[in-house]
Amino acid sequence: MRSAGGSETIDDNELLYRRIPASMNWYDPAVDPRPSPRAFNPREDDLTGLSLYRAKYKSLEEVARGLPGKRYYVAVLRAGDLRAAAIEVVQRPPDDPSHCEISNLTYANRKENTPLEIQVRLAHELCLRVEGPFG
Amino acid sequence: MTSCALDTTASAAVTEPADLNAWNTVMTRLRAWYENPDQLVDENIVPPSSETIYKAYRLALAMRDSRSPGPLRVVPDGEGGSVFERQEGSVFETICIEATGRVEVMLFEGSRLCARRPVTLPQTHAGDSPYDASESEPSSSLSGSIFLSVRRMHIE
Repeated sequence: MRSAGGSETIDDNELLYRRIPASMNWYDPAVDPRPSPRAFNPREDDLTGLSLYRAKYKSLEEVARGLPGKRYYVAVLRAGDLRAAAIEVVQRPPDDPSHCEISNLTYANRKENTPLEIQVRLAHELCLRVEGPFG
Repeated sequence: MTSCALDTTASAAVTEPADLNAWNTVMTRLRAWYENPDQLVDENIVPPSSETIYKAYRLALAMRDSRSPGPLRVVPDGEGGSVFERQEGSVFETICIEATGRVEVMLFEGSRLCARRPVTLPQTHAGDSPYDASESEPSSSLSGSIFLSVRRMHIE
């Protein structure tokens, strides 16, 4: 199913992936079973939303592919859980169905109160598990 | 560059071994970053500068010596800064040392942000080695724990 804008609708049951560089210490199971909220801090290229990948189209190993020689974890989230927490997730851009974004968490608003709360909620409450490291 | 006095000064100042260990662990990590900043290079991530790492190290040293509760971890903020994180029950606290030098403390109850405020740290000198404690500010200049002071203001 596609939205009016041409994007594919993401089902509530879909699993979504967020890549976490192992070198950042944003996830260390020996310290905390939950990732740091910093793993969900938008970066400069997250102009329209925080980047995630859809398990429907990409494997964990594919999502974990980053710089050569680097290792990565992958945080697993569920679309319906995000929506239930008033966190909007949309497939974007239309020509890449494997990619989606949390549209109310962007590089521009990342330091505002509500986006900061979303980052903590993603890390501490909505992350189902963390897989890896890969690479 | 002089050697760090991590292990010789710590036990006299901090009473809780777990807190002492937590501070020493993050200080060891900060030293590793300082010595090998390339380990923090990744896609679209700005690693902390040596100056930011230095500030974080000095803050950790002062907080350890002022018997502050130990942090959960220290992480890069991805934008050239460093963040100390602490969890106690449902309260999650952070001290972020930004690339600009600005320091901000935040306190969350669950995921609800209930306090955030800027903090002024004692002056440090860019380029100093974090191993050289000879010019360190007295721990008392931090008025004890930043974590605890914010909690007292907004929670208790």
